Amino acid sequence: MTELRVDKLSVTVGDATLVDEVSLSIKGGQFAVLLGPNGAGKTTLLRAMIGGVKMTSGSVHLDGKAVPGLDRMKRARRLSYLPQQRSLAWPLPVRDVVALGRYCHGLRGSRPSPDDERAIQRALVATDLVELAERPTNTLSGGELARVHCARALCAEAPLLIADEPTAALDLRHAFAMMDVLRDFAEQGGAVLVVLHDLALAARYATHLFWMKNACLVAGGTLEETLTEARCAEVYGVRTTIRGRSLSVDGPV
Amino acid sequence: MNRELPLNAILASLCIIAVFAACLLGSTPLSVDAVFKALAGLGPETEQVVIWSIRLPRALAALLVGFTLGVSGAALQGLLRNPLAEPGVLGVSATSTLAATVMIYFNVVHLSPWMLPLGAIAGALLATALLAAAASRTRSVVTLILIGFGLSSFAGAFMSLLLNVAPTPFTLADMVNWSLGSVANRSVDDIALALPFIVAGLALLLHERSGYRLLSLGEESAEALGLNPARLRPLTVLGTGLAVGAGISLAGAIGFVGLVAPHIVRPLVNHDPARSLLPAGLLAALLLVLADIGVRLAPTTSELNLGVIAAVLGAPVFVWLVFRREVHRD
Repeated sequence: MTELRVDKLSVTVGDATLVDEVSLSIKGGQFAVLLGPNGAGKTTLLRAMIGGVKMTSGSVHLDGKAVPGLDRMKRARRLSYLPQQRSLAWPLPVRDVVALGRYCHGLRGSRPSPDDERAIQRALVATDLVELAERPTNTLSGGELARVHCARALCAEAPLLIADEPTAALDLRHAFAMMDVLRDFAEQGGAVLVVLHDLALAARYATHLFWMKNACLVAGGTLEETLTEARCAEVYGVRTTIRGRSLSVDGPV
Repeated sequence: MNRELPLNAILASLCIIAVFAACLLGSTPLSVDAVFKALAGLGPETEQVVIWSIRLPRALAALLVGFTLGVSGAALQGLLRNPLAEPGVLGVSATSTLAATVMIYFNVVHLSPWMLPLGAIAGALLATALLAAAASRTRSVVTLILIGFGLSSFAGAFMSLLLNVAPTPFTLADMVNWSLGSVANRSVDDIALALPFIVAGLALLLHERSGYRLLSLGEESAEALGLNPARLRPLTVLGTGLAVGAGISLAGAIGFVGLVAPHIVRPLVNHDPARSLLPAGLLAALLLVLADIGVRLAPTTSELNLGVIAAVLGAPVFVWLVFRREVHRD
């Protein structure tokens, strides 16, 4: 089972400490949500984890191996990363975009191996895109496009999926659909770490929560341990009412 | 790679037909039979000379330069994720042309006929080295485009300066000839000098092409998927510099072909930037060979420059593409 372990990770740029000694770990089967207000350092933390941003100190280990030293292709096969900025320069057909996720398995041209075919099909099914597979991406809606990006991340069949605001710009129904896809992935043994801004969505889906504020991790653990009205007030400055997995935001503190 | 094969086969066949047509047509039209005989080294000597020393090298030069510009244009568009990119955008063409012009102006070409092509290659490599240095330091392609713009502006201004103070009308005509692009009077030797650089540059671009497909998703995603953009960027610049520099040494600056050809083939390859390289090269080659036949047959008092035809036909297409792009955006 996959395990990502982050130990005292810090990122400093000039005088600014963007991430301050953050430690956390995620295992297969867990659906972890990273919470925190804008500028708390969530995206920088994710980027540092996958090696996109150089960490100043600390370490990241994926299944016991240090991530910065990991070969790109190997890393991509073990860890799928869906960045916040999800651009598509050309109107490729949906299936071709999803197939890009197989690059780390050696898919270069337009002749996928049986393994590639199977993975592409599975990703299309999981994200409910089978009927749109041949459509050019410039004819899709925002919700459909978000699923395409999710599908190509799933297509790598990496046991760990890290996504930065996968529900950004999605309406409620599409946001739930996206979270369902991610939850299915976790329930099948995958590890999920996503950044979310929607507290209610996080409360409904997460098994684990990590709270960031001012570059520091202020709390981390299971949903039951860390989701409290006091913490929402402390980290986000909002009043909330929490009943089990149901959370409503009542207004600013 | 199967899906692109018919398109490439069709375009390659058309290229061969076009080169044959270029041998056929001219001020003294030859029969099909005569062209075949001359190509085989048979028949009257004058016809062999016409084919082997004049028409065939010229057609091959157009073919080679077109192929170079088409592949380079498609590669740069893939790298920069911008359908409006072409060798000219990065300032490689302009810098290379300037270097060639300097060779003419300071009479370096009289030392050896090789100085002209060598100068053009040096100019292109200088531009690409500068871009490569910048590319390894910045993650932004916008920066690269801006550097290209700066290089083009500098080269353009310097060209104007040289043209303004040109000592005799003869050098002026020479320099104009160079900056407008032509494949007239090219010999097999000229092609032989440019060929290794072109082959090396294009082989590099074609080898790296799958990276351009991944870059469709943006650099951060491509990197997460296993690509190394920090390696792809300078390699593309190097490949483009070598091929385009050598191409310019052969034919001068010919614009818009590298921009128009990828645009035309893109819908035929499902907008896949990787699969567009080869057909874009073949189409650009075809277009230049046909344009050069047109230049030779046009009833003008002095022969038109190939680059002029390319710009006259290509520039409106370019403007139309920009227009359409604006309309289609959201």
